Amino acid sequence: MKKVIEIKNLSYTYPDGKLALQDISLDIFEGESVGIIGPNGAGKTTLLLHLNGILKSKNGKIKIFGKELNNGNLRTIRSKVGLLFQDPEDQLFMPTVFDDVSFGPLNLGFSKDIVIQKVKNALEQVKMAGFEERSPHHLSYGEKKRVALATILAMEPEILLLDEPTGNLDPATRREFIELLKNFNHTKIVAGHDLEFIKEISTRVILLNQGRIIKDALPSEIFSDQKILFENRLV
Amino acid sequence: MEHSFIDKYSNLDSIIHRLDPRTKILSIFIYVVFVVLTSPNKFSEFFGYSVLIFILIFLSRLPFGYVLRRSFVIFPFVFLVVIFVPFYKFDNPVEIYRYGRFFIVWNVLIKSWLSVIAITVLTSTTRFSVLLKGFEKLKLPKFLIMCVSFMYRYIFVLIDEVQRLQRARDSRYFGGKFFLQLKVYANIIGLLFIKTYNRAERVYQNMVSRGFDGNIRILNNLKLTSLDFSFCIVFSLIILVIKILV
Repeated sequence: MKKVIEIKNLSYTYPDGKLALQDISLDIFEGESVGIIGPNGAGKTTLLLHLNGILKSKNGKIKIFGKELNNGNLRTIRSKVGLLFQDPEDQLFMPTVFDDVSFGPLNLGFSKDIVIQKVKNALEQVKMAGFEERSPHHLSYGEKKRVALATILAMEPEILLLDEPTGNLDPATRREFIELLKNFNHTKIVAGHDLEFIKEISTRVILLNQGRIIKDALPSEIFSDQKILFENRLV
Repeated sequence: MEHSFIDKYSNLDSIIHRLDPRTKILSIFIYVVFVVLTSPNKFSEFFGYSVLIFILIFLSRLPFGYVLRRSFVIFPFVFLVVIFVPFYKFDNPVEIYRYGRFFIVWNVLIKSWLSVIAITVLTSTTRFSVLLKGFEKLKLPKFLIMCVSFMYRYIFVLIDEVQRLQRARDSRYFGGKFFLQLKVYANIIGLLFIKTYNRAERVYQNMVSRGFDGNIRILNNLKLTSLDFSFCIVFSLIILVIKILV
């Protein structure tokens, strides 16, 4: 299998001195669906922000598609790695849904017709076609979440990074959102503490606590180990 | 939570609604310039401009009451002018003798009122996002447009946040000294600043992760139609007729 993400000895300290990641080494292969679980403040979001080059650490190496992240290839890598933020309010910053979904493709330099086509496809994939001219403020939380996903899909990434995708969703919306995600063939990295959901969607689970990898195993192995879940504040 | 939007009536359908935003922006701009540059003693001219703007409101199917209520926002400003009238030194006393000291109030009131009504028609018949695109096509700096667009997007999110903070305060508030209250509000303002700052950080991370490199790109497919050209011509002609003939 092809290695798509390669992390070696990654450590990160926030500017305020808080240690967020300690010596993380990790390989992720094409087509995998990796769940990252851990209590609040375990470093899940910080790790995801590194994979997109938003946070940069001096310690450790990250290779995406075999290339080390640097300013020269940041654009290409960001177009291949889509990051869904926790709060859709942060992801939808333009006045209309169309402007929001077209933001990525326009930045990648596609021509007008292609951009329009990509926006259409992305909105159809998340079943939000027809909402182009709506303002994000007028959407329900579930709809916002879908459009936020479309903003990433429009860039046609190969890896999806999802930060707590099911947080704050009502049960039915959550169910629909999970069904939607299951249909995607991308390499997925899902962070969160919706254990049911991660159990359902992942092929591999990484348990993170206080910036360290505690365990990296099959979902069945981790979720049957009540002791380790209890010790890491997950039950 | 529900908020009143300045483009509340933008989804109605009328000739004015169907116009390209650029046409509306330019027409209203011309209108405002003409109104402001009219000498305050030309009462018939002002009558002509009033009739013109009320015809526009009628054509746009906006509720009259709504436009009037919106236009009242200028009254506090006019009031400010009224306060200072006794202290004015007039360069041209002839007109003052003729019409009285409050001539200057009339001057400010009618010009600002007509202008605000005109701008209300513009903003109420155009969706805010489309209005911004119109300004963008008219070559206003993209940076400025982006700023306004962010403001419009997040002002309601911010208002929601204020309301939540206020509710949290109210649920633990059992009366207290005024000074203590002031302190609580100071804290709320500080908290809001931090929240906004953090949100701005996250939004920027988001933009960057979607390929933002400092150049603002907006897809703009506004098209001028024959309706726009005819509206522009008719509108300017009417204004000229008012200016020259009345």
